[in-house]
Amino acid sequence: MRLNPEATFDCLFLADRLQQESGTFSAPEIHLFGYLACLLWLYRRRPVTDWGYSFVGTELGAPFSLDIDQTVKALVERGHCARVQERLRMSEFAEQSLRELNSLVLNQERAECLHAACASTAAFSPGMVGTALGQEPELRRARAVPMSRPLLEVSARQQLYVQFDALHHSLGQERGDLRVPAVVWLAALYRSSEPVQRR
Amino acid sequence: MSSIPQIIEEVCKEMHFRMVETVFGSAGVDAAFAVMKTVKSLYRHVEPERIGGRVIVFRTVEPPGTAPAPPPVEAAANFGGFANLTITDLIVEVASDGRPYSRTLVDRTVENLARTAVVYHWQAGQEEFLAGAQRKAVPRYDLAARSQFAIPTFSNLREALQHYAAENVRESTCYILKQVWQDDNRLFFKAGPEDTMRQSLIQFLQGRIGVDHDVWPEQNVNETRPVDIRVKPRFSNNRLMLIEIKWLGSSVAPDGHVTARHKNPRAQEGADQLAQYLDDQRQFAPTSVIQGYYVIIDGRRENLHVGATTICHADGLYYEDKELTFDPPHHQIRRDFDPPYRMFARPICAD
Repeated sequence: MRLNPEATFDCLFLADRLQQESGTFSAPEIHLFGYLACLLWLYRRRPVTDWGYSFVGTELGAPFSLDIDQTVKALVERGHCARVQERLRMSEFAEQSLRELNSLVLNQERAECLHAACASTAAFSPGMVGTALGQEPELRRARAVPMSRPLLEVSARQQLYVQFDALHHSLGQERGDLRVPAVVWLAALYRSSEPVQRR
Repeated sequence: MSSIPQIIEEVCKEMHFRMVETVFGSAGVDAAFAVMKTVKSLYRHVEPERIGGRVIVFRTVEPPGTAPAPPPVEAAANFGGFANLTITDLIVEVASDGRPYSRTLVDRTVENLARTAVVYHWQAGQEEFLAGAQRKAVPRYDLAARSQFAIPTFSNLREALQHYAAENVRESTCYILKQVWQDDNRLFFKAGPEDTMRQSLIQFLQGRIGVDHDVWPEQNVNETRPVDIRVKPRFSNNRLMLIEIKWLGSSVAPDGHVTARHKNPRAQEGADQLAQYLDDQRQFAPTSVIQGYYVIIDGRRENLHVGATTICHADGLYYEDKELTFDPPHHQIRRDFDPPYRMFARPICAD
């Protein structure tokens, strides 16, 4: 089976960063941070079609990509990732593959988004990132209508761009460090999930 | 209710990113992320509630055009080794190699440090970032946590135990716990109810926090002193929580003869045992941050006579609000011992 090359790079990149953070990683975390990276790609005003693969919102309001799912399974089957209880750990071979892919210029723009997505773990636990992203307009809609549906279709992106415009406006920077809007946006989404908003 | 764009504006004003960027430019943002990452790593190994003084983590920002300072020659700090140390103040520099190094402040203040560095400062649950002459408190999104950068492992269990007391023990509503009583009015325990009590609490904890915690029954801390329940977060950090369960009240055999009457001395005995467990366990798991939780199922009744089958309200609930006293009070003299969780189990009263 031929794997999606963008999803393969993303899985290796995210696995490496998440592993640095907590020693291991899980497949749901790859879907979650892959989706956050894709949203940051949109924040950079790049077309969603250039991301290379799509996501659906599950009935539980979590992001899921078939390409990521197939890639993670293939990485495990081929021995590039090993199971550690219920989590996964990259092999040295996988780390070597990532180094090679990381050096390619064509991956630099998406690496910026993946890096910023993972950097949000400096401020939040993966669980909090999941809770926050659950308030993102697309996933919130997915949770409200309990059935799997494609995410980031044309009509649905408008609300997202309103929030990104607010981020651009508040941060006063268009091309600055992508880690900052990632953390600020997640913080705002997380706060919006609280039953009583504080002042 | 505020809209997300409004909340974004509020969050932007509250967070430290604009401050560090204004003071130090993009290098300040890099320094802020390096400091946050280090603080998070530190709290994975060290429980903030155990720190008696303050935590300072800083990263010096070199002026533009200046070559980065060479990394220190000494060994980087090993946070894993801090797990069970008594920590008063902790000062850490994130050096140019991104690694943490222990430092002393000597006669410098955090304000002095902040002239050339992004500084994180924590004290008594309050945390802030400083850069230049500015400072910003860190907004707390998880109110149960002692730091925004720490996972509130211990408080998860505290909250669960409080729910267990209210939801399961008070009226013995848990179907497992119901089995500890010899009689329908909940006056006498069956002889040797400990195993059933433990099973009830294990089942509750597995349901309540089992998604991200392993909850194990009785583990041998050493050959002679087992602890009742052990709880460990699966992924996030090095915390280990030990639960000891004791009961107070009277137990009877099926033929009605009293097999045990446990009162205050029994409560103290359990507290002393747990304190000893904690000391033993530290030798086996020196890199784990261990916290002890003492659960006392309190089934004491006033004026309870052998063979009684009913009880009045005044006698049945006599001990409900009577707190236990401990000597020595381990929970007050050591940081790894939570205040005891006395859970009063009500009888069904006749009046």
